[in-house]
Amino acid sequence: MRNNKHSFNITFYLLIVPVLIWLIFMIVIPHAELLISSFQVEDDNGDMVFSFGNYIEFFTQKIYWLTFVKTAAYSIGVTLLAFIIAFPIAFYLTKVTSKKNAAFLMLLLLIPLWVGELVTVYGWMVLLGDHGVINHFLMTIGIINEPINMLYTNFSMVVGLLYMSMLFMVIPVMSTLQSMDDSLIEAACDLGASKWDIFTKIIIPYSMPGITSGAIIVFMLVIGDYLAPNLLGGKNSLWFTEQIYNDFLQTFNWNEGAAFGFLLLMLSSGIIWLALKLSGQKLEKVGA
Amino acid sequence: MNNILEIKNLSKHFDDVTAVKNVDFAVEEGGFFSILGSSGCGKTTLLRIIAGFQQESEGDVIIRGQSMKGIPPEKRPVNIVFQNLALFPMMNVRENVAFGLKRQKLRKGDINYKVNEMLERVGLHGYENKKVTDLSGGQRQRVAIARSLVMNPSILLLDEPLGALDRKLREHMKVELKLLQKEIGTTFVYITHDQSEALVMSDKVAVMHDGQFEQIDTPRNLYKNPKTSFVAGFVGDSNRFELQSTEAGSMTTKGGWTLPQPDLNGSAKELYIRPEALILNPANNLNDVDRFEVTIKTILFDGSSTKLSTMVSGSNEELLISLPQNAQFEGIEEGHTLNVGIHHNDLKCF
Amino acid sequence: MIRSLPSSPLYRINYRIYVFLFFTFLLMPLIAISVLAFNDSNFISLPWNGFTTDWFFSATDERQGLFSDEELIASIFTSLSTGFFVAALSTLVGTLAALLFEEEQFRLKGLLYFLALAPLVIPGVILGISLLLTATSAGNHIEDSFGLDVELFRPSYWLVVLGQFSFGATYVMLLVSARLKKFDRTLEEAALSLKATRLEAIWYVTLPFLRPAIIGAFVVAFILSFSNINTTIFLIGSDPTLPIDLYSRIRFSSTPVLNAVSFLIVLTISGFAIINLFANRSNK
Repeated sequence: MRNNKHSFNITFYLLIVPVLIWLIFMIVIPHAELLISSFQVEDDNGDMVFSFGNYIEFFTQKIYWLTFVKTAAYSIGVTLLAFIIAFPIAFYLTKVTSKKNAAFLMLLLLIPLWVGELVTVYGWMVLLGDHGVINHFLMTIGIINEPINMLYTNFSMVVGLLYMSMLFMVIPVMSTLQSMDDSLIEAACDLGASKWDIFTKIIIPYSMPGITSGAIIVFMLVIGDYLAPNLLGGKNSLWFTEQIYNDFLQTFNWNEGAAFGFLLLMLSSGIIWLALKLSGQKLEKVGA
Repeated sequence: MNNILEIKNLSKHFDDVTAVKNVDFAVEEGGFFSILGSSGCGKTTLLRIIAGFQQESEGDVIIRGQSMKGIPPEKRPVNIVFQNLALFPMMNVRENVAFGLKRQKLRKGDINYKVNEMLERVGLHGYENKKVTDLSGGQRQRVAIARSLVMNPSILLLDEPLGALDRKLREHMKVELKLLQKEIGTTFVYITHDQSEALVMSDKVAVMHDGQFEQIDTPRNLYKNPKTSFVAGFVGDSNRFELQSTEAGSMTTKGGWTLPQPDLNGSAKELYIRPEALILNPANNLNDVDRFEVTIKTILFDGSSTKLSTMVSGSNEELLISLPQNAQFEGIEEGHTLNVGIHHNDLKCF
Repeated sequence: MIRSLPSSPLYRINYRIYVFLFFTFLLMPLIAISVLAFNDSNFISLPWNGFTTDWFFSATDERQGLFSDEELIASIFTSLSTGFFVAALSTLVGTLAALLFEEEQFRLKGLLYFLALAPLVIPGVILGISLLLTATSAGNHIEDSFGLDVELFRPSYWLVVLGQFSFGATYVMLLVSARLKKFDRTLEEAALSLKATRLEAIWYVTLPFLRPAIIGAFVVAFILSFSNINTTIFLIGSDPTLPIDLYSRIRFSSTPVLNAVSFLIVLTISGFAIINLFANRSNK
């Protein structure tokens, strides 16, 4: 295309300099700093020295790595659930209902997304609380006499995590399904495939790129989430991000927090890398 | 011969339009039947109704004497080759062709045998493990046809499958498809807007216009004896003239050209003459030939289909005449006059 | 199954019920908050005690409505101005990045593109703490060396702007790139052959083509900023943004004024969404 070696190209520098500033100062240096900080502890004189102490702390304290493993497992579970819930909706919006209906439903989908997580998490607190809307409703119509304990449990936490993340599954799956020609489904049907066959042999493989993108984004949002575990989860619903928040904002043990942050980064990148490998995709495609 | 497919008074209404109007026809077993029409004439709708992807509003589709009412596409003894081919992009050639057989839960050995045999037949032996996205247009074509034929359908429906190919390849595939159909003997129902495809390949062609069938006939008859003015204008090239007046035995065009009127069709409004029906320098002993003189305006050289654009002497009518590329007419130039004749049977009035 | 394939009535009905339940699930929290914003009660719960607008307009000690709560109003303005700066900065750099990665070839392009996409898969918490660590050590360094106390290097308004910009630019880049992929490169070449400089070609031909995407990206960056918590919470200084303020209220002192704020947010967003829907429709 363009050859920048031979001529000083002002446009090229105009484009690349701001981008480099962004990437170096906002992405590269901070993450290097995170890594360096995670290997530092304060010695008896109050000086920073190199140490594996923060990581040793993580592996020797059961609560830390248990939380870590639990967070990972829950995040994978929520991602799966998000796929199961969201896929039929994405399919409905692109292939089943009319274009006009789809545009309207799409609008309803986007509102919770744009309203932001805090408002919707708060909404679930209002719904699920012991004196919340759902309990009040169930008691009024006489199904139950005592309020069901839903808020501050793993259940409410998962509801919150699903709610804020599942739309990020719907949207990429919709965009791959949109590019899928209906005649592929018709051809499969014409060749005698059952609904289940069409679904598992044609539709799912075709939408795999969208599913992978969606799964990666959902997973990343869930594993890095703080609000839903913190506000909706119970005393036992420890989430790994909460450890990081405590280190930074309550106990001010920043170096341990940095180590935990780095572990979280490794965990999420590792699982995302694995997902990309297994589905044979590139990170570049996730953004699209 | 018995009819494998019968369409009985079939109509299809959409919200505000009627796409198919009271169509009624039958296809003989083992035949190559084409439906020819311009885009939007309802031919795709008709094909999709036969395949079961759309429901007829009225009428019935009967295959091997059995009504298809309420039978879903996957249960009908027909298979369809889609316009865009609809090859499954995530599968290779073998998986595409084996897809339908696997759904029938055949034994693995049987599937392999059938797939290999079919790929051999369409000339794709050795391409089993290629990705369909890596194939050329003609090869993709063959995969799509093999995928449907391997199901051994009573009728194979083809929805303009050659449309996406370039001209050369299309000419080639036309011949190949015709030979394939002869060889395996499956009934083909083929829809196209390309008259050459329809004429070359088919045993019978139905010309469809505005949701209705204008004429169902052999390609030869369609060309020689069009029954309606639409068919005369649509199939093949024609000179078209509007008639001013018709009297007993003679007619005059708007441009003032008077010709004999052989079949005494008093209400005729239009006259069609094919460029190749005109005889240059007709011999004196030919009977039933009307003779006249033309002046050559320009020569439209196009190889074997070179034509002369001429004015009929004594009138204001243009006439296109096919010019054989042989030694007899080598010296012809613009401005020359020519004697031309036309046999009375080649004057088509409607 | 799809529009053109027949399917059994039972299948269709079950599918519709599922879709209905999904959208109920989706809208339930928003409706619940909005309705309770008008409940004449000091608690955020049913039963319904009648309609009131106290939580918007009242100014008594017992019921301090949204519009008399100066702290809340201040945090709304903080969020609005933060959102504006973040959106402006992200749009500028994100658009440049889109042009760079779509139109130029250079060494290390793959690596830089990977870095530019990284914020998509880095949890916001980590962006927040790494920026905090970096800013703090830079600040300490400058204070030790020059004796200067630079506000930018402490948790502060501008650090929040920078933190949100670090991922906002990625989203802008993706949105603008998507449109740029549809751009007919020959238009730019035509401009060049008409003796425009490359900068002029971009300015007069490419950017006008990208305008709808750039405007859309600005709005998205603004919304991302307005609702962000994960990154912001580490970088916040003395003036909290609205979500941070709401967060601490939810944890420590819930009153229906939270519903009033939430209702306003839902209302504004819905308004935007409806405008967007009709704009799209009239474009077609």
